Amino acid sequence: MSRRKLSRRQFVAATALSSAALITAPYVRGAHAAGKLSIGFWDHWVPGANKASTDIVNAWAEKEKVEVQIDYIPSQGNKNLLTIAAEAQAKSGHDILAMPTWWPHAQAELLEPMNDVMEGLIKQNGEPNGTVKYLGQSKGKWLAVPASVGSQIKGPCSRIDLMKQHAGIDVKALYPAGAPPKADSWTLETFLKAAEACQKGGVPFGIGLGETSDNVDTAGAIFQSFGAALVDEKGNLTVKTDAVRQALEFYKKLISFLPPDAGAWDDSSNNKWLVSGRGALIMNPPSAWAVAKRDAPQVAEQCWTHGFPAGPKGRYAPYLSYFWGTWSFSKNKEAAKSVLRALSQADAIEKMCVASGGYDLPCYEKLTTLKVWQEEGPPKGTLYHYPNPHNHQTLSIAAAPAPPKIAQQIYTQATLTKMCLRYSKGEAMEKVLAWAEGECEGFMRS
Amino acid sequence: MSTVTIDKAGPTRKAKYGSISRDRAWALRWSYFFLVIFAIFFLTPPVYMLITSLKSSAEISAATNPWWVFHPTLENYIALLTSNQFLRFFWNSAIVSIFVVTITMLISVPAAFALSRMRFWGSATLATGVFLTYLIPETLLFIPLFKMFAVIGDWTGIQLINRWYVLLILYPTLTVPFCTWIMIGYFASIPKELDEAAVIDGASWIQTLTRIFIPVAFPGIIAATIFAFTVSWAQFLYPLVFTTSTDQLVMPVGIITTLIKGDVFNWGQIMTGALLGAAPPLIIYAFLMDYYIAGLTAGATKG
Repeated sequence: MSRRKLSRRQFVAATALSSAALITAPYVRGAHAAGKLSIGFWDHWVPGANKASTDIVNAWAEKEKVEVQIDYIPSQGNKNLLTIAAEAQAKSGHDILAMPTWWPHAQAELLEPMNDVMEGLIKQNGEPNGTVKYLGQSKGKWLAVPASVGSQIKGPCSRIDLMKQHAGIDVKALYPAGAPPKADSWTLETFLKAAEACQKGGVPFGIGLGETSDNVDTAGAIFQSFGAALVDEKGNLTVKTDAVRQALEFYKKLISFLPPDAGAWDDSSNNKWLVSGRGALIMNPPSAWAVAKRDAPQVAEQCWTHGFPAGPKGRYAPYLSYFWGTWSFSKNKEAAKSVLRALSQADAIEKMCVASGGYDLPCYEKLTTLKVWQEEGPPKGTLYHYPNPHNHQTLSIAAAPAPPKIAQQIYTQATLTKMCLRYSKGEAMEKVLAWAEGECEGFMRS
Repeated sequence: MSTVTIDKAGPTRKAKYGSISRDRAWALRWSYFFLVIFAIFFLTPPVYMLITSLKSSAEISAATNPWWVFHPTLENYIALLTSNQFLRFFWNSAIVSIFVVTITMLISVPAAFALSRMRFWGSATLATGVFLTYLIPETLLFIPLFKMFAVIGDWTGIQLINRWYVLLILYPTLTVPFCTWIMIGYFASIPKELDEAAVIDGASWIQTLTRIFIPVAFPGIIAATIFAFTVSWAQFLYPLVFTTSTDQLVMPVGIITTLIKGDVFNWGQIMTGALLGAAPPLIIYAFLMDYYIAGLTAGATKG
């Protein structure tokens, strides 16, 4: 078989012709000229809330000529965590992935730095709250962009009528809609008396002591109100301190006024407690109230979301933040950063907050007074104080200020609630502290 | 010499006629007693699910008597059975299960036949090896498999992750070893004379398998089929990890991920979905239980 040989002259001529043709051809921008982008958002529990994110992304994709695929990944069955772990191992997956609280730090080495995105967003929207900085930054590097979707404060949601009837506390007067809180009297001491009164009245506070986040978050905020931490920011053990002892003493008293099965509660238990009308207060974002609106309107119209009681060392409220992270192995980082900027514009954030019925909370200081929280009801104004509009409390997360990789384990292993339960069941204080110290030493080693 | 009188009579106890039937009656009573206890114990959860599925969301939230329905409603059944999403999950589960059962049988039957009858070097070791692979839990395998499929996607452009058909590759890793193992036992219990007769008649290995073994071992094959179907229908971890988009989900994951959102549980529909999801395996077991038991216990006794 003869093979036609290509001479050097022919090759050069063909190359030159091809190049000329390509350069002089008219530039046609295709529908997806800027490539593809895959996004894994958190699957929102509010019907229709996902649509707001989809609309914002689609509008951006239309403008930027990017082909987008969006998956909504639920947190149920830890599917979102499994996806993060699997993609991190495989070095392949979504370009953007929603990551809850601790996960940007857990995957810090594999995440694309977002400083360039965050600088612009901070200029526009104001400073993010301290918890977001703690969870989202490492060594001066922004690991991910804070997401409003899924972010929440787990403050008290009280029954107006039952608190007034049994504890003599007018929560609407403490936290009036549209005005700053007048809650100087709302302290842990008052809170404990109210818990006792409501328990005697047959409507105990619904605060769990299980291993899920609602329970741990409440314990975290109360510990911080006493200035109690198991590990400090430098990684030193601080278990055997007076602050921790005070927090445990407080919890021991509180547990005696809680439902007897509180030690087995999960994140849905407190919701059921409120909606069934059996409790006067729970610690939860407005999801329980939203369910009550559907299933028990008479309960919902008596609900008021407000601030945490203050302890000797301040008033702390648990803030759980979601983030949008981009893998360092993503194939379209620039497009990812561009869409994250679009999702973090004030109008986009407001759209998503409205779609979630006020559940989602932006972390930026200029975005805590959106109309949605003033208008949601019934009763109108029930969510006014939910986003901490007057910076009346310090937003925090349980196990902070420990280095995040240690804090994540304290949080996940529910060390705080286990300590409280052990002490309340009669285990000696020093034995409980020794146990917790051993646990934390193990977390530091791993 | 003294004579010893030996009393050759039996025990002085008076013979009790009808004792066997009396013993049988007692055995029967005890059997029924324990069966009732077990039935109550194991049927409590499904009964609770059924009761809850007939309640409205408001009645469930009111936390009244959990064992009674005050205002029965079929709204949960109607909501699910008219939901395209739920029907999609059902369809995906059905398609995946049917394909997996077929693939499993096509691999397991010849494999079991080869390992039990075609004596070749290392066949016994290989048979044990097949079963040992079944003992590796999927919790250990899902990340390496994910990585493998990601690499395949990068190299070939064939996307397997987040596609329902990835489950057709994954599930046989669970079903094939076990089905092969139980069929090895079943094939081994078939008398040697049968295949010897077939060989004398000039049958090839394939003909021996298709004309002799498969008809004779039909209960075992049915048992393996039921097992493969049950595993495919109820598998949770693999679809949870490998499928994400709603239109790719199978029933167990679909129910969990669409009816539970954060701390909001749609209990009525969850119970309804679980009951509807349990129906196909339940029906199959009800009709083929005898085959299943026969297949599972095959080879347990000699002779």
